[in-house]
Amino acid sequence: MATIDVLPPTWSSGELLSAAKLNQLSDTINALKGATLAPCAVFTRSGDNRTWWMRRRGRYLSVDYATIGSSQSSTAVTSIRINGVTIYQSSALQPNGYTHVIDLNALASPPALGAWYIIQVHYTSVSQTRTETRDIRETSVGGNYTAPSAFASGDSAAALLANLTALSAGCTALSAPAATPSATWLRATDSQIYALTRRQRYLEVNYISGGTSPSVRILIDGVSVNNDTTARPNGYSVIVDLASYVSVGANYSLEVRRGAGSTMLLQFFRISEAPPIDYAPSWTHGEQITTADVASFNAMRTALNNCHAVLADYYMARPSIWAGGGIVSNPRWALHKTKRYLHYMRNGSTPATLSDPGGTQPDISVSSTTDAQPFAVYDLDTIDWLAPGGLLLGYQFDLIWLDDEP
Amino acid sequence: MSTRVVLARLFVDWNFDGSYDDESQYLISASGDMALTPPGANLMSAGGIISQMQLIMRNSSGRYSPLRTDGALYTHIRDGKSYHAPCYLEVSVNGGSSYARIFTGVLKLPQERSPSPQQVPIATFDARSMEERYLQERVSVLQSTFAAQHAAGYTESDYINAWLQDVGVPAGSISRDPGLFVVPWSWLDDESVIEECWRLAAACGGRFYADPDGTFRYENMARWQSAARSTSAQLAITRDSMESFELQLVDSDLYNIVTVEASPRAPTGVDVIWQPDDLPIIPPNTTTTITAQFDAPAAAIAGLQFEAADDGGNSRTANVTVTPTYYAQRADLVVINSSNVRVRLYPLRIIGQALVGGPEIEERRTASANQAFFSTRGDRTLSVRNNAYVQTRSHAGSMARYLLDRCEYPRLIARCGGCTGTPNLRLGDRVTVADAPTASSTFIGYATSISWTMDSGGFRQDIELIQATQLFAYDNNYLVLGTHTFSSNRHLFY
Repeated sequence: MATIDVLPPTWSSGELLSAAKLNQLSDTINALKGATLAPCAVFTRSGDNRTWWMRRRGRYLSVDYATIGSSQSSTAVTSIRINGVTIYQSSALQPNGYTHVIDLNALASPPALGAWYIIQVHYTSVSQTRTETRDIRETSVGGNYTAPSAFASGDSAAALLANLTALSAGCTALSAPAATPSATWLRATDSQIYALTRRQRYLEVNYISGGTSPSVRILIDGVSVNNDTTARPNGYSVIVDLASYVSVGANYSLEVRRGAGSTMLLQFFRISEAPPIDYAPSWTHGEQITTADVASFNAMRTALNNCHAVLADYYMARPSIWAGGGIVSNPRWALHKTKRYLHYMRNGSTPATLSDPGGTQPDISVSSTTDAQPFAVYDLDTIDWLAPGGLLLGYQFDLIWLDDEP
Repeated sequence: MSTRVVLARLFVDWNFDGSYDDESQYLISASGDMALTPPGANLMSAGGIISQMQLIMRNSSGRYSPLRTDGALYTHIRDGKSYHAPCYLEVSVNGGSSYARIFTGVLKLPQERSPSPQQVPIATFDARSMEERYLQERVSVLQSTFAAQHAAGYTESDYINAWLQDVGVPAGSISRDPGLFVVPWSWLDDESVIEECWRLAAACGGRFYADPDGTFRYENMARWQSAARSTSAQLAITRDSMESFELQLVDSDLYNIVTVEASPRAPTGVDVIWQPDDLPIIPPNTTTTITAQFDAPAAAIAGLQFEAADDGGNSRTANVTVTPTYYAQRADLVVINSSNVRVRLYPLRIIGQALVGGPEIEERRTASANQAFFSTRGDRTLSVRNNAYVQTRSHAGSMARYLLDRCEYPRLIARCGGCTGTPNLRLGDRVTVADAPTASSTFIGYATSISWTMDSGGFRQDIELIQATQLFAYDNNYLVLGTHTFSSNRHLFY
């Protein structure tokens, strides 16, 4: 999908109600509806000192972490660095978790919009202390969405105008959330927790398992939803109905837990749900507007409210974990092609490759990056066998990121 | 048939101080015209019609003579100093109880004729409406403005308003309808504001012109169905109030298939958007301005990178400052070399996001109301492409429908000659014509051209009209926001 320009029309008393403006409004609402179908950003949790990268789009960066002491002598100093500069340091234990919010605009050298920046969360702790970086989210300023009033057949002329104005205002409020995030993930071969946000109802988790005692357990927010002890050498999907565990728009954790004696490789996860039936209609010149058209106007309202229910009030993205430098051995990545450009980092002797999960197509080797040019871009539209939404596997990348912009 | 002109008043601001001199007593005659381009015609090519006036002035005392040092206006006339002097002409047809302006604009240069046995000495002035004053003024939009206008969802009306104010047109001299289309990306790069206003207005089915009161008007394509002057008749012409009446069916814009292409644009990623072909060399202790012309407009500027070195290869970056002013499609870089050696700038680059064109979108509309006409005559296709201001599918679709409705029937134009002059008649006014020998019922149209003459014989007008019902299928039956409701059973405009 491409970047969405959310530019709804304005309305004023005395002007003619035009199909052009109504279509512009419908186009905007339907584009927003499309944005609700995008996958959410994925954060790979870690208990160690780790590095994440992201391309700046928003204003605020929230870092969720926990430092849990197991004895009176437990200590931990948590440091958050942006582009190598420490901007937060705390020695307080946070056994219940803590969220530190950073206003990127307030930094002495804020990363520019569209620029890459590096986030490091480091812990100085004794052995009795357990640490965990649970989630990092970049968000925009809130859009202040207000649900538009319903159109009614008895609406006065002023109410009709006010309701149209409210629809346009609602679209504008969703302009930031409509920017969809990068959604890539590191394929775990051991127990791993990811942070996600519920956008749709179903979460499909696909993995391969084997070993002397196959065991893969899936947990949502710590609650076990599937415990599979069957060997799955050809891949196996578990579809979780998130409605039982997480409300729409809420952040949650997905844990893929490997049992002792089991081997495991996470293949992919995918969110899905049939799109709502409501969409904004098309309008044509000369159409006669009568009380029978109230339903068409309300279809726009319903579709917009549905968008807000999923997109919420903020743009939200999560950084991609840096798996280079031997931190992860032979890192494996995956993504669904929901954007055109694959940004990546691969600074090492073994070239990174992109692979067809079906094993039919030949692997694609990509050029390596350097310290001077840490990122490179691959245009996924050049892969003729990769359809929109198709699964693509990556090997040896230090980091990958999907973007609409090169 | 004509109406005797009771009074006419001509005022000129010879010295541009805002104070007008009354030149009425020297006025022998005046004539002029104002016109609108046919609706939709300018979508394919930019252009507008500047109203004009010709004044014939009595010059017995050498008042308007550029070489008569004793002339009363010699200091204002000599050396072409009257060029673009503001002027206006008012006419009263009721003995001076009220005047209506029939022209506001600026003078061109005078032409003088010496006395002869047959004729008194005269001076002739041509004048043009207020577009002339600003026609040559060119503007480049700042990049920050360009990006902010995009973010704010500017419509064609918003751009026109901003551009006019950029060249100094007072806000009080601008009258504009609300914009109908969000034009996502629009900028000026050393371009004539007036020409771009014409082009943008036409791309949106509207009209841009300066009216007889000197006001710059943007009228959107709904204007003739929403403004009171266009929805109710302002003038009723009969056989008694005109000398001639002509009807003409025109086939110049006759099509049953219309295709309008939209050219969307999108920002690229952050990259180098400009770097010089050659190494800029800055002499010692000098200030140099470098113009950086971008290949494509910059949706965003991320920064400027440069290093400076002398010819010996030593860094001189500390001695050099580069101050950029970013416009949408270029930057002016003021480079100050404060060292006493010449320096080369390398690298010198501007980083940002270019705005590039995406795949074109085509919207095609085919005649339905008059298709039978074409089935016996063959298809005629109008293709409108490469209009930079049509950038969205909905815009292209609306324009295609709008053009098709205007093109699927031969256009009916009425010309009323020698009409009794109505000084307050304006372009776009609804006019009725009753002429039983020509039409069984009253012809209703919009005034698209008014030519006028004011002399000792009176004040007369030739008026050209375009038929209202042919332009709008639901004439006076569209839904007006703030007035109508669902129960009004009105129709959607384009």
